[in-house]
Amino acid sequence: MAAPAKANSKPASSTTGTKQFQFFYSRTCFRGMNEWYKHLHTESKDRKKGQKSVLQH
Amino acid sequence: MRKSIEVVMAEELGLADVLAKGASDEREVTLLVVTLMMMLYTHRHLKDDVFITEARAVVNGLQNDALPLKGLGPLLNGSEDEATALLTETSVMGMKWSVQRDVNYRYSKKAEDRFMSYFFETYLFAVFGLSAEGRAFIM
Repeated sequence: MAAPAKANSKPASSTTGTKQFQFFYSRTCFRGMNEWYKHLHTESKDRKKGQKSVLQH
Repeated sequence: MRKSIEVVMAEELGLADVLAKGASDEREVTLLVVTLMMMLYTHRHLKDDVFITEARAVVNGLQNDALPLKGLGPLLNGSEDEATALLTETSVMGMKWSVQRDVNYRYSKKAEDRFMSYFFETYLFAVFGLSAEGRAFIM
C-alpha cells in the first residue's frame, strides 16, 4: 500500500512545471535534430546506392 | 564522405547556391561541410576516422587565412562584413566538438546558448525546427 502524502508537502508550482517542460522539450528538440540529420544523411546515402544498383541492372 | 554531406546540404538545407560557389570560394563551403560533418558524427569525435582526421587537417590549414564569405551575406540577411565576422566565430575553427555534443549529451541552458551563438549551428536548428518532417521526426 502506498504511503499517504505528507500533509505539509508543497504542491508542485506551475512555474516549476513549465520550466521542467521547457527543459525536457528543448533537450528533446536538440537530440531529435541530431538524429534527424543523421537520418537524412543515411537516407541520402541509401538513395544513392539505390540509383547505382538501378543503373547496374 | 564529403559528397554525401554536400547532397544533404543541397537537397535538405537549401544550400545548393552556396555549394555552387564552391569553385570560387572553397574555404567557405569547406567550413560549412565540416560543421555538418561534426553534427553527423558527434558520437565519433574521439575516434580517429580518416575523414575526421582529414577535416581537422583542412581546418587547421585554414586557421591563418582570412575568411572571405561571399555567398553568406544574403543567406544571413546581412552584409558580407557581418557574415565574415560571424564565420570567424564559427565552432569549426578549432573543431569545438563540445558545442554540438553538449546540447545532445549534457543538455543545459548554457550549452544551448553556446550552441546558438554559432551561426551555422543555429541555421541547422532553424531548418530542423521549421521543417514539418523534422518536427514529425521527434513526435
